[in-house]
Amino acid sequence: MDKKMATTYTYSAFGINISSEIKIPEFLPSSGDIQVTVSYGEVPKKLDEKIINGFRFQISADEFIIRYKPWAAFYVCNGNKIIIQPEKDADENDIKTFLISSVIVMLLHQRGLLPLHASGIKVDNKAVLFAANAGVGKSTIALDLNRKYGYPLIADDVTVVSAINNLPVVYSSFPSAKLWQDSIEMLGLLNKDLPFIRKDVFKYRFDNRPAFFSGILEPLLIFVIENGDKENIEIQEIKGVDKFNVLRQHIFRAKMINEIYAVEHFKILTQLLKSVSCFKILKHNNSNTLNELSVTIQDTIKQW
Amino acid sequence: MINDKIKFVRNKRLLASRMDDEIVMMHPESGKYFALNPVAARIWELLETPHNLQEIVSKLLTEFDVTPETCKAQVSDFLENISEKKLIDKSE
Repeated sequence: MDKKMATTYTYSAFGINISSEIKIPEFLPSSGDIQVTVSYGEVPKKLDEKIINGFRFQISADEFIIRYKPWAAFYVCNGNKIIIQPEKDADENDIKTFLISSVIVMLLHQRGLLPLHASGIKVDNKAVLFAANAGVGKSTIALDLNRKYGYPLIADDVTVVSAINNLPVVYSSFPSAKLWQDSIEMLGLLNKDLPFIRKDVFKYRFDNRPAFFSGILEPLLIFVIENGDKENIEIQEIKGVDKFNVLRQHIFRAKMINEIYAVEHFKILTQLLKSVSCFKILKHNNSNTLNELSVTIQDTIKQW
Repeated sequence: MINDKIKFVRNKRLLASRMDDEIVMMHPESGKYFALNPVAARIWELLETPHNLQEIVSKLLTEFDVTPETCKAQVSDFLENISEKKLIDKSE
């Protein structure tokens, strides 16, 4: 990792322009003013003013360290810098997978943004989001709605919300989805040429560049999807304080960082929820209900 | 029991936001969340300016179907409760 030899790539993701020494083919290229740098270097052993001290991470107001053994240690600071210290013989593609999910989310938190664990599509000129816990199928539903009704995709796993002049806005993330084998089958895709996200995880990376919209949108609707135990799909509007309590659970890494960013999150989340309607959908966990789910969501979108 | 010499007013440091007819609040120092139902939300609205118990009760009686005795007892309990939680400040 000779500094002098380092090539840098410039990308745009989550409304931010990034200069990176690590190649990130999932991000869109950019030529705008750089706001964030990603480079190889030495990660501090520990933080001086740590507020939260975990098993493999430390967090302070402006700094974050996380160690993913045997891949790399990451240092994120001031919302504008990420330093990666790879372990010996670690695969660069594997390191990048941590970088563009869990690590970059901490940078988003540091920048005062609200990263939700949600996928998203563009409907007319507004954003419709699908918040769900891991494994419920938020990537799959966004891709299916794109395939069936042509809505452009804006996010796969993390959707960033911010407030400009007290109005909530949604930034598109990047044009790549992570899909399990069953999602690939449900969507009728072929996986023979798809790369794994990591050598040890049998989840595929699916490039959806042609179907992607990159930009800023006003939010319209949020669907919170959960696995239920009934055969049919149930949909119900969430109102009042419930809306806040439900969506708060879908802030990315909410439990880990809440005590540091709670005030900022409260402000953005309440502004978001004042402008959107929220629906909770309970779907059956086992049966293949993707088509029914897409139709239910499409019906709701059409009524709006 | 709360007497009418005491005026209550919102703790201005609290973050509060209306969600339909309810209010969600957060105490910035403790990070604790609070929720107010529609009636409590109405009292919170009144407490933008200092009010004593009787002033609050008089206003609620014109808006909600409740007897003066019940209203006074419940509002009094509520004020004690949210005062303990430091959601409102007292002044003589």
